[in-house]
Amino acid sequence: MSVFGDETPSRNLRAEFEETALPIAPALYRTARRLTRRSEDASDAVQETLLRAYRTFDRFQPGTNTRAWLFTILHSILTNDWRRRQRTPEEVPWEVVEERFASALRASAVDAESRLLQKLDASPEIDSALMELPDEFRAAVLLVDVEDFTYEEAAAVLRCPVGTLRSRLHRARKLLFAALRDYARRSGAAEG
Amino acid sequence: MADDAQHPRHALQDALDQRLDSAQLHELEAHLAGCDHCRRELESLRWTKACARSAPSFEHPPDLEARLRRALDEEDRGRGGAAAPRSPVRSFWPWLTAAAALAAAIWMGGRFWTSSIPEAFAKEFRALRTNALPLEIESEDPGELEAYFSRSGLPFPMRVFDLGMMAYHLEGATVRPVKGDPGALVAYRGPEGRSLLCRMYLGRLNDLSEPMDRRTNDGIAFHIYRDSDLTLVFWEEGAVVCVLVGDGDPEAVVQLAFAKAVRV
Repeated sequence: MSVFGDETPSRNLRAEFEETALPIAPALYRTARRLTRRSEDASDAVQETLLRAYRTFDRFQPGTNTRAWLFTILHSILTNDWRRRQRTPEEVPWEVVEERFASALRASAVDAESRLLQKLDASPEIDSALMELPDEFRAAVLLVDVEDFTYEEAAAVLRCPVGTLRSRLHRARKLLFAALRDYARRSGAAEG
Repeated sequence: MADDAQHPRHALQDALDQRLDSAQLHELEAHLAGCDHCRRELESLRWTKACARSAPSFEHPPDLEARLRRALDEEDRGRGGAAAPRSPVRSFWPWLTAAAALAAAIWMGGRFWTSSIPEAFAKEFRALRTNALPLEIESEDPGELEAYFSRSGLPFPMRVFDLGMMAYHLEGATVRPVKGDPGALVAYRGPEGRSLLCRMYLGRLNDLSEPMDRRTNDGIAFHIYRDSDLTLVFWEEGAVVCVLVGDGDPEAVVQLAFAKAVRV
């Protein structure tokens, strides 16, 4: 917290903002696209994110983690949107996750995984499996596995304790594994 | 998710995300050597992570950047041009209010009330921690809280920082008098239910009682007080005294103050 009165009058906020924030827009869009599922909604969310950031950019302090700051705003916007649409986060009991995971694990041979991964590499099936995850689980995977945020950064973006983030991530990966194994097995069967 | 005696699930995930130190990693490797179940689980999670990373990327629409620039243009027009120099009047008026406050302090006879300020803020903090301190506005939105302070006739401009990156989230705010002048109070809630109180008021550090410790960071002087389990850090920003009160690790509270303080 601080008080006004310390700004440099000649500071060109617009130029600074464009230099700082615009390069992050594609990453914001990628994540927003997977969280909203619709291109236009994702573009709207990115635009709103940058406008909100711009309105408070005079308080931006050099050294702040800009990516995390912008992703925090984005997630706040999307969460409010979900609330407006009365979408509540889907609860997936731990036992269900474990059972799906164990079942997928039983059905597969580990030594075949690199081959299966090659089959799935960059395939639309991965995207479909990600889209099937509950919102908060999907957000955890996107931030940590795709956007390379640390647990601490991702937890701050999602406004949850690090332990919760870790738990969501763990469940998300297990559900993802079950779905991907299923895709991979079907893909292998189709070729084989 | 939890570790159990048989299978250290936390450790598997931490290993995957390179969050184990060498001793923990060594311990896990010893376990993996004899546990086929955990080896398979780790491999499957590694495979899943690799899959997620290889997910096809959504390319942003080609007109996204142009659209964003247009939106910024509109925002600039709405506020009269962002690149326009700001009015110097706003920069002066905290000093004018400081002069007024100084005159008032002299008229009132100097150190009246001031020696108990840390104690008073510690009491406020304890009331906040037990939800016994009413907040006039509850919001997580810094802009909304700043608008509230602006409406409240606070005798200095107020900035509210979102400390989300430090895992502290805004709870709300209120205006409470300090030395007879309206002062700002902002409440945050942090990890494990910890509270953080931020106070700002017109005053000087020299009016306070002798601190337990004095520190200097980035040219800013900090006065540090302890009150039982609480740490109170005071510093000046122009005519305004800023205070952080926390019940976490004392050094963490001090470092938070270092991070937030701005040289005026």
